[in-house]
Amino acid sequence: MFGERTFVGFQNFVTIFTSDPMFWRTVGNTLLFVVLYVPLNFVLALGLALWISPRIRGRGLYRLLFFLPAVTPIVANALVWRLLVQPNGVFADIASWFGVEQFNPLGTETGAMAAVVVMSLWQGFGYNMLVFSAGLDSIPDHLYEAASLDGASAPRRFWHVTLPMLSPSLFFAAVMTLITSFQVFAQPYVLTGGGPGVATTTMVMYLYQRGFQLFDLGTASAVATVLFAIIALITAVQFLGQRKWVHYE
Amino acid sequence: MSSATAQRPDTTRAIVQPRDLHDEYVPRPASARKRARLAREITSQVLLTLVLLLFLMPFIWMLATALKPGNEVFASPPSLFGSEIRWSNFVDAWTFVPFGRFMWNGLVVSVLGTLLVCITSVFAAYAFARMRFRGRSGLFALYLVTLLVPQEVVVIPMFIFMQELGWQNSYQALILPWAFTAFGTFLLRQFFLTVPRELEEAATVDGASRLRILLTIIVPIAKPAIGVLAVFTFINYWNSFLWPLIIISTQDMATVPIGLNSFLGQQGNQWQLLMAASTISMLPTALIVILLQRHLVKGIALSGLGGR
Amino acid sequence: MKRFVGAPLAAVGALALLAGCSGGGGGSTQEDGVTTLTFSMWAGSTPETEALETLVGLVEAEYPNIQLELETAPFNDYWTRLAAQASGGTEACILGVQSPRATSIRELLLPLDDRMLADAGIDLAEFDSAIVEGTQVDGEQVAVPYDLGPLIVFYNADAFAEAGLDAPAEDWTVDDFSEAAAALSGDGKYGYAINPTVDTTTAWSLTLGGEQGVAADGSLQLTDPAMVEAVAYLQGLVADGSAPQLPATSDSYNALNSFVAGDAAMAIDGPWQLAYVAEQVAFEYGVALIPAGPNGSATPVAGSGYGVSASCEYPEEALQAISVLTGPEAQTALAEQGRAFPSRTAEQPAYYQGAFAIAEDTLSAAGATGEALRSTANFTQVNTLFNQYAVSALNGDMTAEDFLGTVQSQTEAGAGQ
Repeated sequence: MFGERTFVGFQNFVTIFTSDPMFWRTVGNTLLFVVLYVPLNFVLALGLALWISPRIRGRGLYRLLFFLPAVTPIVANALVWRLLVQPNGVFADIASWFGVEQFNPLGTETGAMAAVVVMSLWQGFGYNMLVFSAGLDSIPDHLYEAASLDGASAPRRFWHVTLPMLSPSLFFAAVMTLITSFQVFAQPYVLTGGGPGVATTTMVMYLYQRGFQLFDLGTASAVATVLFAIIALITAVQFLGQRKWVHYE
Repeated sequence: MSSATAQRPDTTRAIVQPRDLHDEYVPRPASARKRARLAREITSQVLLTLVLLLFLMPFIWMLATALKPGNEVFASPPSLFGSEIRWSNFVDAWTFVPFGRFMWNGLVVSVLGTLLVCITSVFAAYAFARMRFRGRSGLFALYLVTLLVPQEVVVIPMFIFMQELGWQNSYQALILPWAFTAFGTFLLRQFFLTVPRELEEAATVDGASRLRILLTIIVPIAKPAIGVLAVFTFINYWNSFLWPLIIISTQDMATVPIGLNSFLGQQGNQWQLLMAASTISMLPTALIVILLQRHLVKGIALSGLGGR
Repeated sequence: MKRFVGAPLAAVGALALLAGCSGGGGGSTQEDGVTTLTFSMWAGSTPETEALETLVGLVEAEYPNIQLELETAPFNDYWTRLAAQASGGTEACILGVQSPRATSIRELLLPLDDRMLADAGIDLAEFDSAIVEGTQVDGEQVAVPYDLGPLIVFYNADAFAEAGLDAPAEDWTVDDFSEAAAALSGDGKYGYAINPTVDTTTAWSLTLGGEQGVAADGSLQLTDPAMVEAVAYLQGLVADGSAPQLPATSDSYNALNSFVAGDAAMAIDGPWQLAYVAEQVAFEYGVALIPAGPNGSATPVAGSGYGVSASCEYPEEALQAISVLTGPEAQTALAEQGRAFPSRTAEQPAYYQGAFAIAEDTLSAAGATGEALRSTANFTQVNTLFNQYAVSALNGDMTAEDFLGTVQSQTEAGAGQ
């Protein structure tokens, strides 16, 4: 723990891969979070960007308000969510109108992960929405007019004009969102403490626990290295794949 | 993100043009079309406002909690308002911990940090965009790779480094480690690539130095992108939690997120004060975003984050 | 959105590692006969910090040749920062030590032998024996305690009266407790809010089965029958609606919050919460002993003290400062503010005044039956995993044996590293 550092070769990696009961759980939890969070984030961000983008009066204000949670301290955000979702909180009260007796999402493994995902979406999707809004704003009108003249329906225009023109924004957002979602830490740290059980202990949270609570920097660094490798791999794949679907002018 | 964008003739091309996605091409009588559109717009507005209210509920609850007596925060069943509206919680939150001091520290660190990040990013981005040197692409890739490293990983070596310099518990330790960001460099480089070279070539012929070209030609054009970078950098410094937690050891140097944590003490939690403090802590960043709202979306669109 | 500031200068940081980690060593200097020592302690609010500054003043008045530089952090953050400082070799000279965490940071602490203590004028016989034991690791004193906290039951006297129940008697039993909890539950209210921690569970395992989750020899034995019985008992309370379901949370005061809000009529916590409870509640409250099991009442005792870091260059001066920090005057001052229940037996009466007078009988009785809460070197991990899995167990998603076995095996697997 403390004291002299010694070189142990790959021992820390061998340990987390073979005998550490927690490591693979945290990899699984992180992947589950990413798989849930990233697509939902995109659907919400793109959906709202499209909704607010056309001539909605005061769209600047709407965009701003949806972006607000992204700029407030994440500690404050997670704390207020804790008040909302606890068993005697507001959400439980609302659930009781619909006949749900025991509303306690943080008391079950699936519920806790769902709460972390929902809270993260609330906190995070506004940023992508802003990026998409900017992308939508800069699509020239004449493209839509030309498509309309060709008799393209609204879905077809979306598919053949909006998406290709937006693809650079989508690519940028995909890269950044994937990187940050693999690094998710503050939300479970403040909201669930990683529980119940280890259901919401993510990789970064685990390396934090190892490194800062248990003073086990060796294992923490090994976890960090694996995380880094995963993120690097996925980002590389994204960059390689971008030629297939990202259209620059 | 591609050299193709470099050929764009006019980078400040207008981007905001109202447009109706649902515009039907089939002609209809003008008045009926107008009415239908109006109805659609009203429905859309009402729905959007409802969604927004739901979305803002956590903030509403934050503010409502901040105004309750302490023992009613967890009252069951929960209600938005307590038995009285206690504005004094804000005063108490301000004095329960030296919150004014936290805000001041946060402002100093965020403002100076933002300035530094903008300056270093402009220089680094210019070098990567315009100057030819051996190993440029390799170095740029290395820069980008640092984006992939979680902050939690860097904190310990950085802490040891700061100790070696004797900088623990200081403003420079809060600011400098994060004053050279790959993100800023990346963002501005992408933007600089879109600036037509002809602009600079003319200046070069007139004998202007590179620094002069950068400051008088590139930077003014890049204002929207630099603005976006500044907003996000400020927010990051303001909200940063783990690093201040470790490097700061006295209360008079602490920043706002650390300050928020002091309400969760060993002796009970002062939730109403915590929520009051949270509300206050939101103000600076919210204010910046509100003031720069118009430029933010435009800046994102122009800087290449919007893609084009 | 730390996404952008997230990662820079990793390379520079790595260089710093390569450059070697000499570390400053204890943060102390000596100049013109004055020794300056860093003093690191947890404190959140302004009053807490001010109380510490008062203590620093006492030290400097008593020893003009010593100056203390106070460093503070909120309680939870204190340990995070201590870990970071330890990895850099720059922890403070005088460290706040909480007894259950003493074992886990023993390598940072200088063992204090009798001669050193005597030289500094500290006589441990004047302190409560349970907490003196609690601040030892393998028989070595690593800190001098300034307060102690036997766990006690906080109860809502108004709720008891409303339900037609007598206030808990000094000799009340676990059966009395269960009956009261059941009678106090209903209509969204609960008799008892459970704190899913090792300490609270240990209170029940001590009273029900006379054993702790850590054996006398310091080995972890979470699956001891007494612990299983305690968890099963708590599971029963949740199952029959006498205690609310638990949420997973990093908030260690969830139970106390419910109590203060009047949602739960009883909660178990330490006397250090009395000041908070007294300030917050809008009802009559009282405190009682942990109800007696087959072998009478028993309660785990934890507390805090100050230790000298092993890297401190002036351990003698540091211990002199600690003799004042834990001395009669300092303890009386803290007791009168209700900040700490004194570890010095002679100073304990100073605590029983004003709002805290109601605790006198209970605390003196608890002191007599208290047993030091034992801990292991990896107790932080035990605590973390215990809290996390207890949520599933108490909500009925895991059996008591499964729960305790899982925490035991996962900590052991981690301990090998």
